[in-house]
Amino acid sequence: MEYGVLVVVDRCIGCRACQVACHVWNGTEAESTEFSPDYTNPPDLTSNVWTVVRFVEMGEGDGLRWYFVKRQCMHCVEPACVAACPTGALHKDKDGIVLWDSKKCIGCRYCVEACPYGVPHFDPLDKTIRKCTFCADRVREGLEPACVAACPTDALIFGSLDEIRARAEEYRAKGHPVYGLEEGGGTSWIYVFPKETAPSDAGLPRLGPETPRERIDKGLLALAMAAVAGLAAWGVSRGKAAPAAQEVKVR
Amino acid sequence: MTDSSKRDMGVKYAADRIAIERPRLREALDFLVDILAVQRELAREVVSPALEPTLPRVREAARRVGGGRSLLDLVDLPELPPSAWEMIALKILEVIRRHRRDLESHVAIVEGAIKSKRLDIRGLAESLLSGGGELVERESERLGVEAPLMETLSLWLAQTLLRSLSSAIAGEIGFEGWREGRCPVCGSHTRVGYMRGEGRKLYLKCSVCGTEWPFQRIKCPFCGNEDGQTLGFYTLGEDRRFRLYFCERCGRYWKVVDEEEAGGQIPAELYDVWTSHLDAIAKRKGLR
Amino acid sequence: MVEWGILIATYLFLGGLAGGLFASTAALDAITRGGIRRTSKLGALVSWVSMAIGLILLLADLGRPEHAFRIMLAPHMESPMAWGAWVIVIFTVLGLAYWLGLSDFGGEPLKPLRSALNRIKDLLGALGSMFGLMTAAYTGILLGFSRQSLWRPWALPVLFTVSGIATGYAVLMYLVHRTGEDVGLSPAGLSKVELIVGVIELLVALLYVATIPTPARGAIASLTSVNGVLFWLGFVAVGLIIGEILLPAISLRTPEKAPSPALVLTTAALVLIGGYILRYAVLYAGQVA
Repeated sequence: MEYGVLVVVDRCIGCRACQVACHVWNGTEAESTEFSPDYTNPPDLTSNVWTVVRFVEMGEGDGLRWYFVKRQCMHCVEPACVAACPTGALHKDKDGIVLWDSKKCIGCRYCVEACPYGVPHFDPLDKTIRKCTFCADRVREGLEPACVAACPTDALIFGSLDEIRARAEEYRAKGHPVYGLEEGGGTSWIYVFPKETAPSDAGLPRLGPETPRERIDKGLLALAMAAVAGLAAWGVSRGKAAPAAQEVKVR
Repeated sequence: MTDSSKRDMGVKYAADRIAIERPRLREALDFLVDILAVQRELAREVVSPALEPTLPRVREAARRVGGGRSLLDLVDLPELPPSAWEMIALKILEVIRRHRRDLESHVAIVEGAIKSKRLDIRGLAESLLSGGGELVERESERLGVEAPLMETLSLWLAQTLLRSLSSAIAGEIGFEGWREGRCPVCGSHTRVGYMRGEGRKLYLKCSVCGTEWPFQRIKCPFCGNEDGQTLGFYTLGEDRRFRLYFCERCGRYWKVVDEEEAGGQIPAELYDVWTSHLDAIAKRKGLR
Repeated sequence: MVEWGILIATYLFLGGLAGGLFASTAALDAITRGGIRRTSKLGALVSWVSMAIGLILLLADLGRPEHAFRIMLAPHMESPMAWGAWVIVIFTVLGLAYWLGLSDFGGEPLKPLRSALNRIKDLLGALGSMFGLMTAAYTGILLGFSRQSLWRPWALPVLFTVSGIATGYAVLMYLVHRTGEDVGLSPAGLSKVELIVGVIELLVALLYVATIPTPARGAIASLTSVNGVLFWLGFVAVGLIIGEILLPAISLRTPEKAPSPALVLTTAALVLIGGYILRYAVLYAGQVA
């Protein structure tokens, strides 16, 4: 069975308990941050910050209000990071969790460039990449992920991916924008947005349905075309070779 | 989030870690985590403010701890107003109610007695320290509730006050003069300790008030036996995280967590439960 | 945040150069039926050394270079980086073999090997050209499999390949000039090839910029950013328009005369600088866009 989480954006109050829970369970050090103009803190995911609540502003003046969108690894159905990883250090397990094996990581950071969500980060001390583990060490023991367990408003709902997808479909039928059912082949963390908002305003990338596999196939095609071009260039040159040189000798 | 809620979260997740290893402890751990959180909240909101005026006197006494005389041998247990005791008792009963639905009717009786001021809460708390269980027995008989419930309540009442007291004077007590196996603050005996640092220095941790103090490695905390021939410990096969120490002279045992092996993920306040499997082993070996 | 920096930019450039130079060298060698042995030998050597340096830079950029063997021994073959690594390693071996077959390296003991390699020079040339252009294209395909909108247009691998050919060809022209060997083509013919490559590259460059999605395009298309200035002035104006189009056009005005040493050297320098700036600007702009 694959795991999934439904993020009901409307219910999040921005308390950041999930962020603290993530640090506490995973023993990752908190980053010291500086003043920044928006309330998202820390401003971005890092090799130690595996989840962060993004504070998204909406409206202006007296109408200004926030909504809160938690970020973490989406545990994509077809993860681009796994496709990019040249050594198989990153892998997707049968339960849908995308994990990395630091023994196999060579530190090329291709996953960092490939992930559409900016999730994996290279740790300069460990010389390996790090990211959210879906609390594999909890969920595989029957517990909820630490962030889900800490959420005081049930904005995070943990369950089987099938069940989570079904609930997301229900929300969509009621007119809520939903993110993660199709994007890039779908994700295990699926977001339900308030009706008047859009996932792209919260920084979620607009992805077509093209999967990483499909894009790689196009890359292979391009590579094959280069091979043909190289061979053709040589062949044409060979064909143009003036027989003159030898004939001159004979004469 | 406040620091205290972060701390509570840390204890909660440490309990999860223990429960993953030993699922049978799940309920006990949930109960413990809950009571610890409530005790900390009470310490912060109720006990600390009430203790404030008595602190200079207590601190002064703390510096004189030694020669076998614990803090409570030197100074009376600080007073709390009856309203504070009442709030503490009710909060603790709430936790018991949450985790022991089966005791609901008994909890309700005790709660009624507290609300109608028919229960000597302070007396219950103090009876634990004086070691006399008569009051607990008498009160449970009088109200018609199970004695273990009353015992637990009196332990947790005393604990709430003592934990607050212990942390208020942390750093004031000179442990150099304290070579006892009893707690330098409340005088209770403990059977929980840990070894920390490369030299694996031994510390004992009071299971009542939480005070931690250094203790000789080769010495029985119960009878003071220092003869290495009659002291020893067991470990569990390859698992070197825990040591079950015993004294052949008095037949007592104590449990030590080797933090160098165990890592620092579990806070010491959970050590007693974390090592509860050692209690069963000790029992089988006839230790007490 | 810039995850891939100067080492990778240099590697992308060297990979393109090595591939383009090998393909150009092998083609010219084929046209002359091996009549430009010294030029071919030098071309193959410069190509191989460029690739080797590129590989060293690539290793130096890894967090754990001591684990790099995993890409070769236990690769995850779906990854473009894994197949790219294989392409590069095969290309490196072919390039070395091609050069060895032409050289006197190793004296008597290596003679049987050298003559064996020389006998299969055609095969090595054909395969090397194939893997050379695959290497050049791969540097673009690598970037294409990413979240960076600036790297995703399909014109980018084409641009990197054409730029690799242009830089390789410019170096080859310089080598031809240095050895003074007869390539059997008129100087005008050589310049014309350069000009044609230049015009194609210019068109591909414009196509590339045009196909970048709008929000990201500014990072390289706008002259208000450092990378934009580098791209338009350094790459397009200096490297492409002056180096690959204007200067060859000047040579074409005197079709019989071989271009002056200064002109050959200037052309090669400008094309190489332009090619390097292209990799640098695209790599950096992609990560800040």
